[in-house]
Amino acid sequence: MSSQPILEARGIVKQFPGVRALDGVNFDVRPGEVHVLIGENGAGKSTLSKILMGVIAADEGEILFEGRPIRLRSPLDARQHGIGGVYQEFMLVPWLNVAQNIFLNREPRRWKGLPFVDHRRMHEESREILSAFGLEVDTRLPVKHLDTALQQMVEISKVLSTSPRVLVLDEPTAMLTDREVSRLFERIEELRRQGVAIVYISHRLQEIRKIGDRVTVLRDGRYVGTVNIRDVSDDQLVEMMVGRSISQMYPRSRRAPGAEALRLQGFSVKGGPQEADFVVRYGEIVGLAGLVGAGRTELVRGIFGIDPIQKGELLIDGRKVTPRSPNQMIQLGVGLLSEDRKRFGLALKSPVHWNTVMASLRRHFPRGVVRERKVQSIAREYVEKLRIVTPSVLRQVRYLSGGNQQKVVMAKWLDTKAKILIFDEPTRGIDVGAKAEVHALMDQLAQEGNAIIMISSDLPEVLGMSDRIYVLFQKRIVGEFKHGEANQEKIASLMLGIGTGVKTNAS
Amino acid sequence: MQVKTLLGQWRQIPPAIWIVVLMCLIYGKVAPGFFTLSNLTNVAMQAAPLLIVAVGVTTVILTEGIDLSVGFIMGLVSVVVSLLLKAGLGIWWAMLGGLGAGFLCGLTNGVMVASVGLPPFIATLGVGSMAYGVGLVLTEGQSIQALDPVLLFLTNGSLAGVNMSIILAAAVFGICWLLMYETAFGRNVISLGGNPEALRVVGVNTRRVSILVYGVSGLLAAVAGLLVASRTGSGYAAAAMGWDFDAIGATIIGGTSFEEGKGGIGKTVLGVLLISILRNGLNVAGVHNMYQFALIGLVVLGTIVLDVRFRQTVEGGLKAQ
Repeated sequence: MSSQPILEARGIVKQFPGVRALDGVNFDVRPGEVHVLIGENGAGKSTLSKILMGVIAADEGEILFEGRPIRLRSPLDARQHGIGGVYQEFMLVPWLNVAQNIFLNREPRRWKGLPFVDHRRMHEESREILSAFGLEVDTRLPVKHLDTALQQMVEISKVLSTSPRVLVLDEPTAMLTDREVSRLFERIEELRRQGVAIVYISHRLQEIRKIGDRVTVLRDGRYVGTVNIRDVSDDQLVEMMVGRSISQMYPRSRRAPGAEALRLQGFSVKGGPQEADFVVRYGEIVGLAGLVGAGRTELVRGIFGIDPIQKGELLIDGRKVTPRSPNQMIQLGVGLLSEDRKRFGLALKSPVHWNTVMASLRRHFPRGVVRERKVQSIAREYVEKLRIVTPSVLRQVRYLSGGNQQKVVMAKWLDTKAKILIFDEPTRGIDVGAKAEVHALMDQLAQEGNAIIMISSDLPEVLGMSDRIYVLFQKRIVGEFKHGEANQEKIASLMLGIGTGVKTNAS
Repeated sequence: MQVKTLLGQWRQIPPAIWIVVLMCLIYGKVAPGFFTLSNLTNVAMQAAPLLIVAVGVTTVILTEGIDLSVGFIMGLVSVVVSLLLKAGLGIWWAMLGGLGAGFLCGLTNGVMVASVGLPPFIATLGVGSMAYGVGLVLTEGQSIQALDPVLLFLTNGSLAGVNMSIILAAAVFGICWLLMYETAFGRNVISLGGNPEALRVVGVNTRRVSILVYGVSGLLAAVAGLLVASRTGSGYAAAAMGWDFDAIGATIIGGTSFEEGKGGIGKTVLGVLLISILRNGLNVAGVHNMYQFALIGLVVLGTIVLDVRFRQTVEGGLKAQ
């Protein structure tokens, strides 16, 4: 490893209206290393990465490239220095195809000097780039038809095709399954050996240990420190991130599962799970593990009456129910916390209190006349109970952190008096501290006698939180474990369809 | 099995085509003059300026914008050409002046939307209203005669037996097709409606692309305005009232949608044909002008409703597979 940093940021300050996003931050990265940048949401990681990529300009401080100060006024400037990256936000054009996205704004030309695009070369080169990743994708497919994991791989391929010397990856694994993550890590390892300097932003401690060399911690826009990753423990890192220690990651109070809340028998959903048998009782958390596309989301969509069921039975409190619409299921006490809370869970520009009662206005105000004060006081109860951090219930939810937004969604469902709660990826995109809080709340809800179904791609979370775990593979339930019976290897191999006891129906 | 796939293919045909077929059948019955060569040429000639405007409007709609000014711009262009001719300028300068006026209006639209940040519908409506106003003031609300032979040749003349306006529309369409689908600029236009941020981070000046798109729409409206001036032999500020609806209607019927980045200028041809046939048939069948507006609105909306339904079922079918 050469010791001269290729890219260095010194004393970076960035002020946004109302917040100081970065306050005197230092950062550098050397060729052939993976320098991890961690911190809670709102710590300033993404702001710093955007400054390094020339998307936004720093107010103060300087950026040095190979020891010389440079100015990054646009992403184009950054690219000319060989700095490229993957953003946290979706940076593909949904209806352009894979090749068009990879070559956006640097399309190969058919004739030199003329603006006409060479489509054939574009597709050929795209296929090469993707197959270096082991991906067989039809490059003529619009990216909106790919699932989120593949889209993410296309974004990464898009950057790698520019052969950057500095590669910035902002939470590249947030949408990926374990298999794709390991493929990505192989690729990162390869790039590191080729001498590429890699800035890696994440808050998944396990994964940064696998690939990171050094780690810089940010907290509330301030620089906390840079350490060699081998020299610190996870606890120390977490403490640097949150400024306090978090002892127990997965809280489990004594739970006493009671009556059966929901049962599925031979449950089949169009395009989703086939012949699923499944039980969840009041007072327990049931985890659903599986790869993206294994049928987890489709299963809960079927339960919630979004997609029609083909055959099989659904029983709630022992009574047979045919789910026809989400509205009907809400009446029956079922709540679904979507994995995409910004799209399906919240009215982002509405304040906390209106979001809280969004699904239960009829119950509070049967005559249709709504009283603002009562809504506020209802919301205040939840803010207190769920420890939602907000200056007031009048605050628009888009200004809250991811963890607190998730809590507002929880408040909304609790206010419908839902007793069967389905959490789809409850802690995706939430930072460590808030994650622990969401887990504690889920534990509390189970203890209070609610039935909880949790979908999660985060295996430690599934293992730590669930009383029982169902594993899905290719639209079928292929395994069931009690808490304590399962471990990461057993579940992972079932998820991949290579474990023992797999009921595969060769098609 | 074969019957089923055949049926499946039948179902793949968008309703707009059925409506066109249906209209042709009805008109064939009630309007004897409809299926004559001279009338069909007439349809194509009427379709020519609409296609030219609609292509520009389609491009704007692809960027999630809208252009409500094209009808007004067409009127203004006809006025400018006529007045410049009247002032003694040569025809080529007069036409260049007209095209320049249209392009300028379009660029103003673009600046209002992309730089000032106004919502496209109000920006273009405002600019259009001003264009109309200027046209009225310049002519005191009168129609100005413009009987220059070169101008008249644009719609009356023909080349190798094909009417000039049809040749012109085909040429404009071809150039726009190349621009949209074979150049990086076209890619950027399509991307602008999908994810402008994605364009910005790869270094595209999205503001410039947006301004240019409105500029092109204005320029195309100007070309159509020349055709209108040529056909009527005059310049009149209100010469193309309601053309914005026809152009937007043709775009939507063709299948370009505001939200999903679907469609494109190729599909707009179908919409243009539908509206042109509808209007021509009503004329040939002797339906009074008064009733035409309501009927055309009805058919356009009806087709769009059918089309939305149709696309939902086709997509539902695709997903189920």
